[in-house]
Amino acid sequence: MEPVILGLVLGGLYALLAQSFVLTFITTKTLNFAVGEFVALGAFATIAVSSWSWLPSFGRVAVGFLAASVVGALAYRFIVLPFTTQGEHDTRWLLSTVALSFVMLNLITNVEGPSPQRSDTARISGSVDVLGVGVSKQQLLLAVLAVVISLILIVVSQRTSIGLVMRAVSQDPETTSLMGISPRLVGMGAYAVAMGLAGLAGVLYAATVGASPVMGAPLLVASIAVAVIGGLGSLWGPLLGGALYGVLSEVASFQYGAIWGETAGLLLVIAVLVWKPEGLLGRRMEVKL
Amino acid sequence: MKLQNLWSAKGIAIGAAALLALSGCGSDGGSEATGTADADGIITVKLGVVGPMTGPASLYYEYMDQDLEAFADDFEEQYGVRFDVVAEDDQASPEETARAVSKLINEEGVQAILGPPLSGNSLQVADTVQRSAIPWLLAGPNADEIINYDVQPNWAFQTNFTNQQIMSILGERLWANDAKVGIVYSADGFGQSNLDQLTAWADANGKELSVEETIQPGAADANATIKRMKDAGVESVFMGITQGSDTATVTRAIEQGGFDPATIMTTGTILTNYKDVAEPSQWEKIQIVDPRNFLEGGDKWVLDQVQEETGEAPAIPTNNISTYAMLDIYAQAVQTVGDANDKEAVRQAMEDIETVHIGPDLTIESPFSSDDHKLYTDDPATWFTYGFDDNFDLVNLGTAADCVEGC
Repeated sequence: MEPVILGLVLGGLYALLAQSFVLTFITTKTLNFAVGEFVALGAFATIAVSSWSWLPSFGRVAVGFLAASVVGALAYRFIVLPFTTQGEHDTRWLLSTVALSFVMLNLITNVEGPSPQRSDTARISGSVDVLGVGVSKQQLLLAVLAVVISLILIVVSQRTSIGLVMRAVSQDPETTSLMGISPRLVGMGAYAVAMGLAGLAGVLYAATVGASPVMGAPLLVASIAVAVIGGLGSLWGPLLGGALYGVLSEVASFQYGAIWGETAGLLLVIAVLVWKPEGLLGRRMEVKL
Repeated sequence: MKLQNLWSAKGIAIGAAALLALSGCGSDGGSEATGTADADGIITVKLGVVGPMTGPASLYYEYMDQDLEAFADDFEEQYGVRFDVVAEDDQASPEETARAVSKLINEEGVQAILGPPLSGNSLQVADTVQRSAIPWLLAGPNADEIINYDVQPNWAFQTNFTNQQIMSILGERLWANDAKVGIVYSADGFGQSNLDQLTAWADANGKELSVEETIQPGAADANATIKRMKDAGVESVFMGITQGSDTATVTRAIEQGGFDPATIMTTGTILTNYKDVAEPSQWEKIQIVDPRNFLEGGDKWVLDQVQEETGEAPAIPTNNISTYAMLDIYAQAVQTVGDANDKEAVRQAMEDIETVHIGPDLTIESPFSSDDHKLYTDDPATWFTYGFDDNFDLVNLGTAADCVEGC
């Protein structure tokens, strides 16, 4: 039971970040490989205002979210969008987002230094008993947040006009633009929310491990894996992917050692790609020629 | 026409920027590093310094930079040796290290090389530096494998303790009372060398390492690792982990998992990046062993001077001290020979050095021989055992010999 509980909790962190990938993919058919640096950006933005005693903790967390949101929207406009202009086979954004990752990493390192910095905002110390298993309260918060945010995104996507617009832009940006909807603005909005989520994850994760320029990088592979397992086209996907990846990697770590944990999770990715390339909850896109 | 003017202005600007950039690269032009005494009797040495100037491991360059800033004038005054530093960024990667070292040797023509500071990268270039017959100042790396004493004369010198030495000290402590021992080591050159040396010590002394677990740099948790140790009944844990932040991940898991081993030992790497991401309850049982006395005498003086001269805390305290000792050794050797270009004579003078100075009042006598280029020994009577108080300040618990059965 212990690896299952701990795996579900760990999967929550990955799911929250995976939601960033899913959100941008659903709307713009692009992924931002600088998500790890947006995690760090959110964490450092919150630390920067941590001395503002007049601002409550919630406000400081919001600063982390907003800082990553604003930079995320700008990143889409100036780093992603210009490299998607040659049709759906234009994948130059792959390189531009990787380049953005390097630039942000070096900028953050130069400004903040390489050492982890303590972050007390939204820090919840200690552990709580879940079905007889000691679980870090901080990690549990991240897992619960991943579920709540995923549900909110699903409701917004399916029940509101904003969601309708997002789906319309995703399926046919040209037609929606003829209807007066700007795919560019929708894309910026999606990136703002997605990178804001990465920043939020960074704020909460930094309360455990400290904020450092490289804090997001180790989470990147796992969160991409979670997004792929669940399906890049499904907002439910990260929850399922996070649960499966987290539990499998923890069970493998418990049974065979830590070195096999990540390996087992990545083997699951390969298995899913072979069996269901669109992800477990993704929908196969068929194109009529 | 306007467009042409614009492009032409742009071209001039780019050209000027390129010239400025080029003039900032290297230091050949106008270098006074002749390696021999000038009219004032000062010998300027072209010293290649290689380490991660950029990126997440840049602390491992910073400590060398701090020491050169804090003590260069002292060495010039004391030994008449001035360091003309040619720095190269290895970005903590083996490929970049190979490029950087090759450039320092072949293009810059440096008279000695300080660094690289990471064991894995040093291993990568060990043969190259040895073949190039240039004094190699290894103040950071702990891996014994870097120096192959079968090859003589040997050009590398280590002023940090080596993993073999610390394992010799720790082996007695970890297996005291026939305890069950487990190791958590980082998945890098430092961690692997820790594992290899601890296993070698155990094999040589008829002991068994019960659990071996790795931790990836930046791992989100170490719960499974700790659970496996707990289930195996491990009583003594050794953490051979490069980054203090990863050590914090392990100690968090120890606390969260309710694991309570009798002994938790680690290395001086915990002094970097640990305190800010851990809680007092997580470090209260941790102890380290180190041949340096961080709390008084010359070792402490070095750390205090770094703080005073640079206005920054020592980036990696253990390595700040090692770098001071290394620069002292090299500067003395150059002074003795009088010509840094005579590298073989300088190397021999380093090997034959009689007294190494660390600060004004700490000396180490005749540490080297042809098959021993290590500054420290593995005599537990000369090592210190430290614990930590609630503020993570070091507490000297006695010598390693005093604490074999626990302190």
